[in-house]
Amino acid sequence: MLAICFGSDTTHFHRWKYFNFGLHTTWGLAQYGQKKVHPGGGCLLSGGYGPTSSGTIVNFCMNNFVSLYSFSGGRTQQQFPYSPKPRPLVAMQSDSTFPQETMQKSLCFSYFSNVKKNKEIGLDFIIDKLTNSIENVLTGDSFATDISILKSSDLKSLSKKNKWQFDWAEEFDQPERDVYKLTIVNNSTIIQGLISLEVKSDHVYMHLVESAPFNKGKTKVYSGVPGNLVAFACKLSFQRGHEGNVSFLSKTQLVEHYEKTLGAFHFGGRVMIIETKAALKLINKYFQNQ
Amino acid sequence: MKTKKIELDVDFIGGQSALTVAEEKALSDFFKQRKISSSKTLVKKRRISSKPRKVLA
Repeated sequence: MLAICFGSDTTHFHRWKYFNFGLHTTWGLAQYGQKKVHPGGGCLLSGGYGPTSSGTIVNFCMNNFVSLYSFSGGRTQQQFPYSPKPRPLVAMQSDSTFPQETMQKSLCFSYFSNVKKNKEIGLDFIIDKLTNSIENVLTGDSFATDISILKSSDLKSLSKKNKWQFDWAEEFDQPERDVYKLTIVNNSTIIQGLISLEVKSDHVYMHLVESAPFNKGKTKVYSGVPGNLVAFACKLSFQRGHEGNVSFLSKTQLVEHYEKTLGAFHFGGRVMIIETKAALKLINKYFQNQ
Repeated sequence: MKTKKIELDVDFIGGQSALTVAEEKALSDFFKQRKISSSKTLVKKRRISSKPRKVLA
C-alpha cells in the first residue's frame, strides 16, 4: 500500500511520509484531517498540521488499528494482516484548531518510515477525551477529563513528599509499562490520578492505579478517578484486540468490592479479571459520549 | 459486642509487586482457553448460518 499525501499547507509538505506495506497500491490525498479511502485498497492516511496550528498537533493515523475502525470506513487490523502491531510512543496534546470530532475516537499510531528526517517528526500517540468522568464531591459538578501519557517532567510532583503513596518514577522507568495521567480539561498541570499498564499478548495487565493525594479518603475533592482509569484500561484492551480483558492484583479484603464496583471476577489467589461484558459496562459508563 | 468497621482503601488498585510466574502462566492459559472456545462457537455459528434455506413452493 503506497500512500502519498499532500498537506494543504505546502510548507508542511515535507512532513508527510511515504510508506509501503506491500499488497495494495493506492494513494490518498489527506489534508487537515480529511480522509480518502481507496475503494479497493483501503488506504487511509489522515491528520496533519493545521494551517494555523502552533505545531502541537501531530496526528498520523492508519486504518489498521481497531481504534480507528469508525474513522477508516470500517477496516480493522484483521483485514490488514501484514501491518505490524502498533506501539504507543508519545502522547500529543490536541489543538483547538484541529477538528476535534475526528480526533475523539482515535488512538493514533504511526509507523511511517521517514523519507526526509525532521525534528518534529515522530511516532505519535493520542488519547481521546473522556466526559462526565470525575465529579466534585462537594458541588456534584462533573468535569471532562483528558488521559495522556506521563512525561518525565511530571515526575517531580509525584514524590512521596507530596503524599503520593507509590514510587511512580519506578513505574515510569519500566520499559514494558506505560504510565498515564488523568487531568481535567484545560487544567493539565494538576494530575488527578495515575495508572500503570502493560499490554500483554492476550490482555492488558493493570499494574497500579492511584488517585492523587487530594482525591483520597473522606476529604477527597473528586470522585470517580480510579473507575475512570480502569475504564480507560478496558478501552485500551479493546483497541489492542484483547476483547476488553484486563487483569490486576487485589487485596483479599477488596475482592468483593471490585466484584461489585468493577464487575471483575476473582480468578484465584490475588488475581482478578475484568472480562468483555464488564469492560463494556465500564466503558459505557465513563465514555458515554463516544 | 461492638462491631468494628474497617474502611476499605479503594483509592489505589494493585501494587508495585509483579505477577509471579505461576500467576502469569495461569492467566495466559485462561485467555488461550477462552480464545479457543470463542473461536469454536464462531465456527459453529458460521456453519449453521451457511446452511441453505429450504424454499417452500
